[in-house]
Amino acid sequence: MSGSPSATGTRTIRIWDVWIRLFHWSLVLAIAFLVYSGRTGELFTEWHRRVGELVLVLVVFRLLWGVFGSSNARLASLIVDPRAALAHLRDLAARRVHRETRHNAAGGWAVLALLVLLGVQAVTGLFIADEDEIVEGALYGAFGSDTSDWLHHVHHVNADLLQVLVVVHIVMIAVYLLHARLNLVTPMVTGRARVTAERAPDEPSWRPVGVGAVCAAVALAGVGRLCGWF
Amino acid sequence: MKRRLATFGIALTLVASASMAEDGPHDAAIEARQAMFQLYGYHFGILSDMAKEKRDYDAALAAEAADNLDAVTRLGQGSFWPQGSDSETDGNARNRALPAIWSDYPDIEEKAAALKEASEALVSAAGTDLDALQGAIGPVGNACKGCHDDYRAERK
Repeated sequence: MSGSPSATGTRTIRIWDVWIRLFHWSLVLAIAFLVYSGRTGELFTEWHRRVGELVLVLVVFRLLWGVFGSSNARLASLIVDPRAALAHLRDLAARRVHRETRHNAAGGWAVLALLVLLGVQAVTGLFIADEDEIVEGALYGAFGSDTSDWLHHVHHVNADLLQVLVVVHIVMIAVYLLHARLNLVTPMVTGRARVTAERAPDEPSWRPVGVGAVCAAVALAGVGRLCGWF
Repeated sequence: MKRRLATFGIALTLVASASMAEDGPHDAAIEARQAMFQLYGYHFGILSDMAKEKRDYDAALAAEAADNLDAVTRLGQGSFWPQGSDSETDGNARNRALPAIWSDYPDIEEKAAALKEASEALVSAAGTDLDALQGAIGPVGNACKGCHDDYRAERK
């Protein structure tokens, strides 16, 4: 049962499942801490690596959920014609965008880009250490020092790329909100949005919550084993 | 033509050998302070390997390493950092001391104090047991890194 109709002809639909939302906001907190600890050195030796490993869990989870999850979580659905993405951005500029129950054509590419950069960041982190070997990734030593130095360099450059992309993401959300009057934040928190009855898009097809739980368990177990948590 | 080439060749050799020479005025101080850092690194390495469980914990060895590390923090460093011995002014190829050390001296003092404090705590903890060592070594690593991040030049 997808929504309760109201007198004014709007109804509430569900857009984002609980796993997508948990994933998104956990990532926000994790990235905020990682940028802070990475730049200032605060709590760096104690927590930067651990939270980085958590991001790896989140990315692995998201990839699994992108295969087994709700229809709007599917990674395949993010790959759309780039011309459609450009058309969408023109619509955005013209305030012609509407509520969708999936990533919009441009947003889908943004999600893919973020996932790739996050993956690169978390994976390079596994294999590197600072020069004094005060903080070491779980798999530090797997490669020789030249490779390790190069991965260290990649980790630093990619950190800057990630921060740029995160800023772009936040700015774009603000553009949707302030310029096009489309609030994308609340649905990512509550999972729901109001739509007019005539324009209501189809809800995604959902997967049972348990499927997400299994994906999460697999991600935790896999990354945990790799990183020597147990 | 041959004479000009020979003159040029001699001049080039002189210039090349002058830039290769490492007897700068501050070499002794630079080498001494690098020796000090090697002592830090050596003892920290022992403690760090034990803390990361890469080598067996040995209370006596850990206690000695922590004592030694603490002893190094008490070296008077007045003569180690002469003006002009920074990596951009001095020609010593192994010198990685950034000019900021001299311009940000109050920050250096703060960081040195942080290292002393962390090192003292490590002295009491290191020989107690592995848990105590693991708990106390973090702040020492942070203190080392705190200075290195800002004041040591990147490896070439």
